[in-house]
Amino acid sequence: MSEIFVQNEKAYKRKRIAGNITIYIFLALVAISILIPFYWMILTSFKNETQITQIPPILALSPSDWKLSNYTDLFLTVPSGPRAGEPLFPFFRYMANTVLISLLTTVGTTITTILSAFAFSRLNFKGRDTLFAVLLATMMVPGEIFILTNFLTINKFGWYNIFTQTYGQAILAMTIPFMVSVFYIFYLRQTFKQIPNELYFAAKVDGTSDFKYLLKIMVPIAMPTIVTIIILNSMGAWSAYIWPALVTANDKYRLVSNGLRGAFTDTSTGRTDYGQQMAASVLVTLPLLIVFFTFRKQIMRGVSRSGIKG
Amino acid sequence: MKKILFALLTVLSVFLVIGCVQVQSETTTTSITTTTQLAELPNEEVEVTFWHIYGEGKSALLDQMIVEFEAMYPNVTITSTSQSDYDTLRTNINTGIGVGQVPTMAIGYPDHFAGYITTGAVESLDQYIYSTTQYEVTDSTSSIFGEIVETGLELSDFIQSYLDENDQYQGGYFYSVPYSKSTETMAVNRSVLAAHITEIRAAGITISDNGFLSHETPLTYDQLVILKNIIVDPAGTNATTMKCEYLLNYDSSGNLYINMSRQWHAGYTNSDGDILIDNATTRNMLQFLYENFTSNTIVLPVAWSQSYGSTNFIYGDVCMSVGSTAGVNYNIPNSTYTPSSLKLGIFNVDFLQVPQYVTTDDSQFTVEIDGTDVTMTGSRSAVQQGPNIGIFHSATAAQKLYAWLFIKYLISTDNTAKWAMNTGYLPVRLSAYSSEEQLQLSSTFSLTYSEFLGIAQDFWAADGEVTWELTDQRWNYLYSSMVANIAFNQADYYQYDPAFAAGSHSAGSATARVEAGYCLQNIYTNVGVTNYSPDTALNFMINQLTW
Repeated sequence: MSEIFVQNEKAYKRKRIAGNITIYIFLALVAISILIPFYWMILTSFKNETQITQIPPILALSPSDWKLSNYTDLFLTVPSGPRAGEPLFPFFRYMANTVLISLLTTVGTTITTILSAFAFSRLNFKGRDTLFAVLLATMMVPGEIFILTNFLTINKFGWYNIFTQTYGQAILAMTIPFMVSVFYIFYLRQTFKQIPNELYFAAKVDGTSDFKYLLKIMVPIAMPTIVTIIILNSMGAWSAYIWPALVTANDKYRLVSNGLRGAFTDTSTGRTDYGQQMAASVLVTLPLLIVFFTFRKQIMRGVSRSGIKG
Repeated sequence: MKKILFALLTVLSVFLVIGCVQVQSETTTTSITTTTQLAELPNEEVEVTFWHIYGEGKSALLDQMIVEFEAMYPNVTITSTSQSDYDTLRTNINTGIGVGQVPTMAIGYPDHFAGYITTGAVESLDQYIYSTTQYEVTDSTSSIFGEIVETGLELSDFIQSYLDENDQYQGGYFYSVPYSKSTETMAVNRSVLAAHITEIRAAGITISDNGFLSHETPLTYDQLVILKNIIVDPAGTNATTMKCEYLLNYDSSGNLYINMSRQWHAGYTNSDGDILIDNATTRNMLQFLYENFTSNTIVLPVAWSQSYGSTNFIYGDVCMSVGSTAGVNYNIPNSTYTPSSLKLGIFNVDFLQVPQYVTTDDSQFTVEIDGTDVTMTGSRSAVQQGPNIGIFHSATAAQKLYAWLFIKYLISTDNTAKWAMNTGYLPVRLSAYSSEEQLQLSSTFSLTYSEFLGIAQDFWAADGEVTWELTDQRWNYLYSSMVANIAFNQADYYQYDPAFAAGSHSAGSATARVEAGYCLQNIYTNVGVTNYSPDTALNFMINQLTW
């Protein structure tokens, strides 16, 4: 009897080890596939023109072969002429614009999403479900269609005038149309709906207002969903390309994604200086990595914590 | 059921609301848009917005020209904005047209302007070009105070094909003028040629002792075949025999298709937007190319999974490579390459005109297609490319006049020469080739454009055996000078690409160019496939371009 038990236990252990090996191999492959583009970006940022086009490709470089000028050249200034002293690639200006746009868009989206989701999940008013259905229906319209309508709107507001546009107007034009997301409202509403009604009624008995109940009870409970929304929205705003290029009359108002696209391409040949472009990409990615590693615990806790089942 | 109907009604109403957006509808116009000529130079403050794609580093010279122009007209401010790249530039202008937010002037390719013309957004420049109006500069703070400014433009000073490209539009009006132009030239491995001088001469081709072929006359296809038999080893590049695996690379498969269809009179497109590729000559041309791909005579960069063939030219995989004049330096091997990659070592490079099928236009030539000799009529052709510059209709009369004067300043003899030497483009005026304007190329080196051309001419005249010191700055500009000379020598037979917007029966010219490139790449990637016919690629292209 005990022999059978030992044999079963051994078989179980073998199965578990095999299962773990399979899982870890799979996870390792996924991790490698995610890391390879980052590795290639960093490696390319240290290569010179000939190393980049080398066939077969160079997979590793010793530090003595690094072309550090790909990085240092990013901070060169215009040597002469009317723009003398200005940076050749206005990296810091683009980064500042990008950070500002990301912050404003994310804060705005989070606020509108929380308030709307609360209204659609908790408040009772006439036509609530119809209005929500209309909002959901707009998700079926491709995003590209909204580019035209949004462009006409910000033009009517006077925020896009190629002769007179100010920095403030450019910021408004780049952020306001993206401060509402129907998908995020739907996403958070579903989380809110899972919170038991008993909590709401108990709070009401205690004399809590709707707004206080939202802030003190619902938002903390739905924090994992809200953190997810913040991360997704920040990523979208950080890598926005078409809209910022469309609604900014002055290239100084644009984002780092716009700068990365055109700044390193030789306009006469169409060829791109990939070394410098990748060096700039590394510098653009760095702040995100620093933010992630600094707030890693909070982010992971926020994403992984499960909500209360209703 | 009621709920389903309600949901459908909701979705429908959303689409209806979104469809209610009012934008300026596209109108096809053939009418010339003109502005009343001003009697005097406006004295009020005028802002001219200029959209281009030049980054802050590369636009230093442009900025300098703007400062000089603003000193000439102190009441004018030129606001120059880079739109990063051509796609963004065109998208932003097209979107802006709908709401009246377009710059005063912008650079653009012919197909960009063809699109702007269909909405009536761009101004005809004939009113300025042919004008005899003169203005006296009365602003005492101007750097040209008291001088007389002419509005007209002396067209005879421009390379004819550049002008043909810019007045090809509806009614034959100029909606743009040439600004930054380039063409294609052919880089050749001179060391390989020099290693086979005896055989090349025995085959009847004139070649110098150091491997220079003619810079005045382009190679014919027959001569290419002769050279292929001498300097190509399809088994692979061989340093012992000094042979390459392929003879001739074409960086741009689109340019190869379009240029060859002109050389063969095969028909491609016209300015009316007709797609003219469904004919026997085009089918012959594609079959001919297929056979040349198979025999290693012609190769495309896709053979090495590359966008350009210059790296493989440097590696010695191919002995000749046709590419843009602006990319000349990408074809020069140097010691920064890994030695093992350079199959033929660091070799000498020369530049020639793009190969032709005939030496005089509208003459006959014979090629072998599918084992049969076929005789056809052909002409010489080389592509011209690069942006032009134009003015938009919505600007005020004062803005348009100053925009025009600024364009005239940008393409003046001295400035087009300066622009060419700084950027790798070619001058648009013939007089620039003899300009006396000194350009400071480095802190210790300045020269005129004719002296710049003289660098290559001196080198060729000495059969490459010049006595320049190693520190002589002429070495730095030798290859740029070579392509500038070659470009000038083939200017007689530049051809432009007809520009038109997408219409009711065909795609636009930009799409046609892309599809032409895909067609040849499609054929190339099917080399060796049993029972493959290039007709398949052509039929696909026809299907993509016509409806």
